[in-house]
Amino acid sequence: MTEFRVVAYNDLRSEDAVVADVLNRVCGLPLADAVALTRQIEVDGKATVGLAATRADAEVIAARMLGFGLRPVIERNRA
Amino acid sequence: MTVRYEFDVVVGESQVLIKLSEDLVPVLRTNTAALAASIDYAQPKRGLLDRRRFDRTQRALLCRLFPSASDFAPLAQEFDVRWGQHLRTELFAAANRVLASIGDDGSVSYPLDAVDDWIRVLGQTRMLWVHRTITGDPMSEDVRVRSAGVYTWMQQRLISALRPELAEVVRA
Repeated sequence: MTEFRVVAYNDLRSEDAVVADVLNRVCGLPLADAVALTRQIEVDGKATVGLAATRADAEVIAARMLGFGLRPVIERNRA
Repeated sequence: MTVRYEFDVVVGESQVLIKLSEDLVPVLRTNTAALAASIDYAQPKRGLLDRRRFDRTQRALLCRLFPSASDFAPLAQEFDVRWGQHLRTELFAAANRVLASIGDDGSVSYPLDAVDDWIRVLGQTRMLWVHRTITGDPMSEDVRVRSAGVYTWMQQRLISALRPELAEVVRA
């Protein structure tokens, strides 16, 4: 059950490789997913990059992303 | 993209070697120190006006460095209570380690397993000059945009050296 999601917003003009690197290596996403989500962030302006059962877990993901200059927003999954 | 500076990166087994052009050394030192000073709550402050001006500048910079993690203000505040100081302390420490690693001749030897310090500091230093939505451009006539662009360029050079395969797949 994933109560929370972490959405990455494209408000920082980081190089795509930096975004993909952070999603892959820092957030632990498989490389193919990290690259696909990086493209989605660029095209759509945002993408859900993490799902978490608890708010604390979502905050860990968000904090890692913030540390590298990305902009995550924690949202509650609607039923 | 043509930048007059040099920022060459060689990745070894346990070390990352960076060679900066000599004119880039004072630029990196000054701006990295400025980033560290801006997030250092403990730095001495002088008169009331200076303190007010600094506080306002610091608050604006911190908002750019660490934007709200929730659109719901109470949750964003709780996140800041739990993580804000940690994030600021980490970036402050990384900035100081990066600063200490820059040799007078522009040579840098940095542990590979700690090279995230450089990735983070290069990326975050851009926020000294521009809002998050402004794209840096190393060729811009606007000095703020140009400064941000140079940092984007250095970060890109570093990532490309560390993970050439990633640069390729993202570009594909």
